[in-house]
Amino acid sequence: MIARSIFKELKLPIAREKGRLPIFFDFTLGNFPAEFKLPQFIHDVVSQTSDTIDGIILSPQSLPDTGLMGGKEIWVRADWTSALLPTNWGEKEPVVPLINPRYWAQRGISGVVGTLLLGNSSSNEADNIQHLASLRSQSLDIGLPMAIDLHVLKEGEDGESFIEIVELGLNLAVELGCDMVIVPREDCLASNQNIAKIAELPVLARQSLNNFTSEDQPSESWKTLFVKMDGIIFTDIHQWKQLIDNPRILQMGMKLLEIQPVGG
Amino acid sequence: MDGGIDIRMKRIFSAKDNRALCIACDHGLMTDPNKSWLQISEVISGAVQEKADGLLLSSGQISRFVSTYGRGCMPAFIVRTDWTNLLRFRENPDDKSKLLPVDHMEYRRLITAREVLYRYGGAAAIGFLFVDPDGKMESLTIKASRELIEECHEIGLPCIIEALPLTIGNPDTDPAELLRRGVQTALELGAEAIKMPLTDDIQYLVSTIHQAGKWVFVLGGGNLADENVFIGLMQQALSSGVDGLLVGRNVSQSQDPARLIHKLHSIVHPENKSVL
Repeated sequence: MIARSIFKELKLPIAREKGRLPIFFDFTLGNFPAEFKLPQFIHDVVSQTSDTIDGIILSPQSLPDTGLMGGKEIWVRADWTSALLPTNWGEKEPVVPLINPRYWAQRGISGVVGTLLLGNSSSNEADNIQHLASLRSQSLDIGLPMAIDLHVLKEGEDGESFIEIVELGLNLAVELGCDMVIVPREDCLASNQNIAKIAELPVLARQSLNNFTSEDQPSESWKTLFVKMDGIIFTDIHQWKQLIDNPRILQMGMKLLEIQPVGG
Repeated sequence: MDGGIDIRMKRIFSAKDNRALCIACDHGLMTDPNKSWLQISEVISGAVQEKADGLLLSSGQISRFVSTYGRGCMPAFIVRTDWTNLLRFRENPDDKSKLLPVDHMEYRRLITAREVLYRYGGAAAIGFLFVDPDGKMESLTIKASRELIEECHEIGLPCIIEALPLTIGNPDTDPAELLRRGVQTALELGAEAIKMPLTDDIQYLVSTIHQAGKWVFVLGGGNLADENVFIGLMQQALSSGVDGLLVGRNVSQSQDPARLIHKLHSIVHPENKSVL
């Protein structure tokens, strides 16, 4: 299953060893409660999941000592937008470029992640696309892989479906030449087949850990993610603290993370 | 003409007849996902198989396809350097045909001429020049075109300017008049070739472009349901003296792209094939 070109270049030692799809934790969406000391929290989480996760996505300011990462993939989010904050969700906010990929490549990161917002207005879409094209150019200059993290802010006002907007984003990701794309939901399978498969572009599903704290876990839908996608990226990692505080849930979570792909 | 520019233009235009058949596959960057995009592999295979002279691609698509084909058999690459939401513009609020419709136009440059040449192995770069009655998009794209042409000329890369009249919101405006303005501007800016729609005064425009020592492509203009009508229009364009066809959606939405490319090849280079 892990056959697409970019994955051949990644480390992914745990996924390879266990014969399953890669798992990433995303620490970057900016909605961590203030009491979190992020670098320490990242260190704690990575330490406690070292046998499980293949990589992490970080904001540049959160990059811990890469020696702690034990050969895991470290991808850095290259931009910031308030449109993804809970207080501003879906607003017409710009995506602001943050990083110089060359600098971060020198610090040993594995790749960069650019944000693509679609679905509300074209007012910032043009700048967003130009930013992603620039990020692609800069990352290619130094041979650094690039992922696009696609967010659908609002479903269309005229009936266009969520999946169609995701397809539009996948189209753009391919045409801009990115190496990997992160999509929001498991029902993006149609897009995965129609567009990303044609382009042989790995598609990772983004899954919030918000649903992970109750005792009845959505295991079936998670299984779907593993079967149909090329990997999974968990967000809202601060919820992991509750898992750490509750060994039974943590155990259950770990078990879910080891779900084997069917027919992979 | 600069040596590098001349050499690269000759990679696009056939040495036998100074004509070119080029297939545009860059629509995925700017339109909704559709059948045209989903069969892009077939279109590119067809272009290679039928010996099209050029392929217009986005940078991402070149990276995907460049390893697919063997040495010496790829058409010359013409690389799209910019982006617009024009193809998603909805003039009528009742028009449900477009995904994520937009009500105002946007344009951005995405890659440099140096990337076209060095990173993607392009034989030419292409950018838009929009001509609108109020001059808003025109001023933006004139500036972008001038910058692109300068970048290209610094490194001996041909620059093709795609001149398009915009009559959106101004139905009384004469698109032919806007196009004449766009072609004249592109020539004055120093483009090596103009890509433009087929119009009634095509002969006048071709004559103007040729007098300036430049080349002219016509575009297909979307999906014509009747393939024979499309072929007829392209024949008319060639009879008017255009140097090449640069057509995309008519081919990519065809049920058999390779067969249509074969037909187009036979009218662009009639000495090689005759299928009509």
